[in-house]
Amino acid sequence: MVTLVSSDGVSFNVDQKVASRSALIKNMMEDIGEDAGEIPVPNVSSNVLKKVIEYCTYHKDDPLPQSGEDEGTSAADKKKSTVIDDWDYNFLQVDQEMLFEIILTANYLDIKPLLDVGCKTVANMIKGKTPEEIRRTFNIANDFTPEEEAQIRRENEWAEDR
Amino acid sequence: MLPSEILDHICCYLDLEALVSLTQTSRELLELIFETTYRDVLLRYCPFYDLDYSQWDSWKASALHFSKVDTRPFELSLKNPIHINTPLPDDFQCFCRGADLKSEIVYEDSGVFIENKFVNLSQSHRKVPPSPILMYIDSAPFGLVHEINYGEESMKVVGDFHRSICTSQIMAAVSTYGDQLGLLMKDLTEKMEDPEEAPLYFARLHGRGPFRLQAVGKRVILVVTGHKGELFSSIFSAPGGFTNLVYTKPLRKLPAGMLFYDGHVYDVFMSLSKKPVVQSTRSNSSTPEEWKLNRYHKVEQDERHTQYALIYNQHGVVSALVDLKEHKIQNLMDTPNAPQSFGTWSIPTQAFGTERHLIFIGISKGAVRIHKYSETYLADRYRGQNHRSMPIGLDVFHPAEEDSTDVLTYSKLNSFVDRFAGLNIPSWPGE
Repeated sequence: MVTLVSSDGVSFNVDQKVASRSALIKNMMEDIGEDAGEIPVPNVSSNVLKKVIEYCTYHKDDPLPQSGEDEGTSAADKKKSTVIDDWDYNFLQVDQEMLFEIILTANYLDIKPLLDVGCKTVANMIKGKTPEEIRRTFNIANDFTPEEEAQIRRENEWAEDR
Repeated sequence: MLPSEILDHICCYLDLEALVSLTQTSRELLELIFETTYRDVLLRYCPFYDLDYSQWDSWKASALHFSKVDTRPFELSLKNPIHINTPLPDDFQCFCRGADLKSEIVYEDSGVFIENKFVNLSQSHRKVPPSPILMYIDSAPFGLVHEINYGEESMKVVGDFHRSICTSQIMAAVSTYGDQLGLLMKDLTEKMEDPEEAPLYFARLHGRGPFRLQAVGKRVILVVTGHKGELFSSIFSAPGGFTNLVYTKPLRKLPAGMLFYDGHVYDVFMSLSKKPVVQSTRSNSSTPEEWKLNRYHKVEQDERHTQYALIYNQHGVVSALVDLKEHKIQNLMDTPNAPQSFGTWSIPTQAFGTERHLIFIGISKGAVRIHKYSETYLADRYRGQNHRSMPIGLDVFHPAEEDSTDVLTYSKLNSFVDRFAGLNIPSWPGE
């Protein structure tokens, strides 16, 4: 058992197998040894950490992505479709803030499958939307000047004349 | 806002259209997305896109413009027989060849690679080809020696290095030195014990840029600008030296592509007005009927059938066929909504509703042919050759993901196959 402590001081007791879904914690446990004791997870609040542990628990028996393959697989990864399996899909049906927090935590704790599925979820939210719809979905401020907007429109018109 | 590396990760899953929509939401996002992300997404969308040939100087600009360009493949108006589930002829050359989509799937002239296992569609067995070798050019400051590497081969260039061209047969580079233009060329088929001793050919030309360099087999064709602004072209073959060819009409524009056939150089021009000109050293210039060509197009001579040259559009799909012997041009871009030279289509079958087919269109024995393979057939071949079932479905052959609009119906297929029957190729005017 390992104890993970969130930024707001909540402790979570988790199985080593579950904790080692995170490459960061796995390496840490290997470095410190079996009795790692409490591992602080700064930047991650208890409600986000709880969700991430839920993911790791469900996926604890999945084959671990092989380390060192990161570079080679990136091109192949990019070819992959954005299909997400049912459990992951339902797991990520959370509000946007939570989704982003999960992605950031997956990145920080180095949980590649969770990072991938989180990014796919965001990508699916972007697909098929107009710029205006994307702005509304993600609450992005339009910081283009009217001139720049006109420029984008002109360029589009130009390109349509092929 | 998410950190840029995560944003980059998200963008990897986007198609070009979505990426461009995203960049148009805010300036911050437009600037946050990496050039490499634009490149990856664009290349996934259009694997043949070549920045060197484009009118834009960055992947970003290309991606932003490209998303607005019509992506409909061309309409085939050739008439030829269709071959169903028969092996590809040994000399079959797919119009859209060498399509390595940076994945386990490789299209070859005679078959298909699925997960590095070759599904052979021709008579002879082929091995997995080596992965493509990238060309690295070490740019050095003006006047210094530049080393050009291509795989294990390398070549040094003196002077202000401009451009090089490397094939499996030759390496050639153009550099300027003072007011002279030099062409360096190395024959890669002449193997020497010591690579330093490999013959390197050099030719000095009185001319200047802009110029155009192209390789045809072991020959190099170079068009340079003379001192009075006129253009002239030369064929260079190692170690034979230069043959200067004089045009019957002076060239006013640099050709987009150059072809060599029967001792003559043919140049294909593409003007912004989309009216290309084909001019040879043998005849007067000729303007074929109006083509829908633009500056994205690439002209390439067919390696095995030098009589033919193919004009590729921005998607790497052949848009016109030039018959140099007959002086004929077949424009394959008559109408929109037609099949590409390879890809999969759902075709209704009598027994099982619809089935996906893999279709190759290419040249064999001097004629255009279509070959069609059903998913079942490919799966059987794969099982027969590898003793296990095909791991990936045919959907991966579709170049445009999730794009169901260019599904070819059976009647549509038949009608375009019908048109292959009697060639109706217009002659070049003036011949």
